[in-house]
Amino acid sequence: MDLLANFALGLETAITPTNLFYCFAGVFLGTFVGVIPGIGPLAAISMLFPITFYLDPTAALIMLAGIYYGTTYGGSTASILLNMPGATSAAVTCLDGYPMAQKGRAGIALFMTTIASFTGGSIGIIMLSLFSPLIAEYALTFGPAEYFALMVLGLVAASTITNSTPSKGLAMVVLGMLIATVGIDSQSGAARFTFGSMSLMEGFGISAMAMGLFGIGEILSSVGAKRDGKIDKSSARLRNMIPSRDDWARSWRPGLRGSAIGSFFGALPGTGPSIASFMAYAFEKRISATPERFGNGAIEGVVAPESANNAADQTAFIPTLTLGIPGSATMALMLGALMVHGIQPGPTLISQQPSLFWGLVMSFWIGNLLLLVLNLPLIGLWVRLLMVPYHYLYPAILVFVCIGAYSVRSNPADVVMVLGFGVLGYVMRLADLPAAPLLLGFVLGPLVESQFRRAMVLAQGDFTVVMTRPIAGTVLALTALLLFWTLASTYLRYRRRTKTTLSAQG
Amino acid sequence: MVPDCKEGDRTRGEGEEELERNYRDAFAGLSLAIFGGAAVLYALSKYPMGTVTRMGPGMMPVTLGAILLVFGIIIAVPALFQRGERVELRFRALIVLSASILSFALMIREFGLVPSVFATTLIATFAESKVTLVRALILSASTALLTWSIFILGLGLTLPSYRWPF
Amino acid sequence: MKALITAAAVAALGAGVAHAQADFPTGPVTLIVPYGTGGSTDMTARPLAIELEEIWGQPVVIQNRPGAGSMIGTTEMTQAAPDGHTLLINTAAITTAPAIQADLQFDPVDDVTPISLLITSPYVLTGGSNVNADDLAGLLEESQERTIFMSTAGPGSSGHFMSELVISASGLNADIVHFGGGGEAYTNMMGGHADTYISTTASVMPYVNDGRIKALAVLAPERFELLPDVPSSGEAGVTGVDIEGWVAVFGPGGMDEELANRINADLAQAMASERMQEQLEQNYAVAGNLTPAEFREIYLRDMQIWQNLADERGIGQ
Repeated sequence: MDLLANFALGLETAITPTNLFYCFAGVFLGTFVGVIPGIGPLAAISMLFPITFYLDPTAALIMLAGIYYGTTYGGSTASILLNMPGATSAAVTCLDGYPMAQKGRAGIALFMTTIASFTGGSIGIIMLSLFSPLIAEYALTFGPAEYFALMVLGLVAASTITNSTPSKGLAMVVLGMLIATVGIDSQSGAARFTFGSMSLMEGFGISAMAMGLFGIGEILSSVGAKRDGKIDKSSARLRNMIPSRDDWARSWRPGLRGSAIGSFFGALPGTGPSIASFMAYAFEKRISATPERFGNGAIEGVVAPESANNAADQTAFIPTLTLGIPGSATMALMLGALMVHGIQPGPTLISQQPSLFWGLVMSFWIGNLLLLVLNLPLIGLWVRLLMVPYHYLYPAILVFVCIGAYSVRSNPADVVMVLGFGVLGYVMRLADLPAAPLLLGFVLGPLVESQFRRAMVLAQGDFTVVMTRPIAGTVLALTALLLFWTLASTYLRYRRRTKTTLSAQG
Repeated sequence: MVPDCKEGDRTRGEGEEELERNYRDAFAGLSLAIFGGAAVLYALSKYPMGTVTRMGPGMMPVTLGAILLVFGIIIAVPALFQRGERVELRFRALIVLSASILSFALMIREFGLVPSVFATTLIATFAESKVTLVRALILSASTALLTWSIFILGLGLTLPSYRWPF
Repeated sequence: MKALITAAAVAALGAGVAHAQADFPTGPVTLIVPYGTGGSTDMTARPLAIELEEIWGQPVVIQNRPGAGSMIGTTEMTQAAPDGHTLLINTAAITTAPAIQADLQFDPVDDVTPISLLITSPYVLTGGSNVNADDLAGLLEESQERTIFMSTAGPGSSGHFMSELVISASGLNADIVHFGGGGEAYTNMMGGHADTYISTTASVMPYVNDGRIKALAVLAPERFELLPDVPSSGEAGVTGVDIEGWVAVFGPGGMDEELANRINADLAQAMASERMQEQLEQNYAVAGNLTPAEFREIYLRDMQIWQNLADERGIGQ
């Protein structure tokens, strides 16, 4: 069979000692960079990008890609242990990962994220190797109207992501969207809320916001406070790191669903792992029979987003390689690594550079396997990190966050922005306002606005045109249904509760 | 009843004295309402609104600001009729850690990586009284060494490791 | 690891270097790239830096200072001493920005010394899967029946200015749709959601060669020597759109004329290298070969054209 021959060719390319070395170097660096709070894949790849001028293109791409998906593996570690996302796409993992760690289940959470990451990665690779041209073709049918409909669906899902009262959750989504309007307006070019500052013209960075709200906010509220009793030392024992039968039973379905959601959003240019992980989490919570467990250390809430962001990492290569169009800033760097060597990705890449394409795909398999082997033994080490007294840990974390924020654009203003979001995050904790919906509103808000305005230009101002497009119309109808369901179930639960309180009193 | 929001857990367990009114939510709602209202006024005065089908740059901020204003009121008003718990604001950590991060932002261009990291770490240790000065100095030096070897030696970040601007 | 490899490469180059004469450069030269790592300007700057290191025998350090449509990096350059040790590589964005950004922190005439026009290439008008026409004349006809949607990489981008210029010069019945970058514009054109996109040859030709989008016209009076099969806008009877896209090197304002000439000559030597020639070929572009004084005229002229167009079409207001 053709596919087998391709796999064989790819394997042949991927297991040459040089390529194997760069694959290992990539995933190894990626894992550690991912663990360090503040340094995301974009910062790490930008720093290492110049190396591609000295490497053969396949080796360069294998290494940069290894860093990319390796970061996502490592990104969840700090989320779980310190409530501090190592990468933006791991922000949602904090919601249930950190409570798990507080209950002495850090080892299990880390174990399951590694398995979930591997599952998500594998499913993403299968999609990439079997259906690349098909998926790329399908993604092209998504125009502004379709993106707008999808993002509205995302916003409705966003409001249910935490256990706060609906009014607080929704207010935070709106606040996130409002903060996202800062900067140059994508449609008119007007500078909104920049107050003459050039550093604000491109708006706030998503990583600055995630690091500030979650990372610095966490440090500000922990430092100087009486800290909850010491982490149970027994959680570092091997026996307490192996998930129970119950954990497995709860996890495998969310893992598969998360992988599917991740594969979908990864392949759409302009969305990506962060949106994918949020969507997977919101979806699991919505269909769960026990949504109240979410936010209190539910294993599903860790598995679903982690499988989603890793699947999205892999399928993000589909538009990049088959259309030559990067879906994100990180993917643009991957494309750059090819163009340095005069290779133009596009529909003909697979046929013209088969050893590069299939070599890369096979290196993804090898990389994911390496990450599995690398990460499982490391769990013990990471959990021991919790034994380090916090007063030695927090200054170092602070430094890493600062360097991470600065290194993206070499702009000190970005460090100040992280501080600003940190203070906001701290105040929000004190005021009992949830941070996750704010982050999601921030991510989705600009997409909703710009895609809607684009769709309106293309429809010549006629909204019915948007509604009657098959994909956009279906998604909007689904959204309306979801909204109705949410409102109805909230109302029903409210009535049931008042009834039980009344009968309890009476 | 508001279910627990886990994000604030480390601070829980302090000053759980009951207050007559839920000042926390009242403050939160009021701040959001003011912020939303300010955004509406600023955007209305500066950016064209356009129409719903041909939105100008002002439409989105004004709409969002108005919704935020409404939610702020929805959060604040009921809070005045609920009991609440005391919230403790710790200024020492807030001020010291802000100074620590600001020192990084101010120093990184002028002095390079090593002095900035050293200063940031050292200042950060003053947020608590748990670390002696000697240990703080050792911690700062080793953090500086660690970041230097990761970012400059390992990742090749184009950043001077040391500069003296004067 | 990267540092090691770079060091090895620099050492290897150093062995065969012809040493620099005269008094420039006396130390490392900083080349500011006002865009992110891996972008097209960055990809020109990096091999150029390698060539310049060889010519000057001094390290040439790339500093990426992205933001504010290249104005953050550009502003930083204008604040350096005009001794040639701080240079900027930028695209035509440096001429469009003054027309749309009200609060620039430098004077684009006095605080910038144009040194060398490195690369020029014409703008190409391309059409997506929804366009039936094969050239500009056909597109003008098609626009009699329906509105043409011209996509851009964002308001104030060079493609936006060029699209407005085409509308103004040809009377095309068109609406502008802004996307978040060139990539999004291309996918929307391929998917048939938008109709046209204008960019330089380097950006559009890979997709044209793929057969996903078609080149409707080179925006010039005559056909472009490297693309003999693509009709020119002149052939469709449209004039006044023949502005070229370019990448150029600038220094801070008030730079000594002799020094500017010296750097201009060194840059020309670097551009003549095999490495840079290969890059030009890949990008369907040609080297600039102008003196600083000649380039200054183009710089000032383009800036004036954009300012007039912005006033006429209401861009950035």
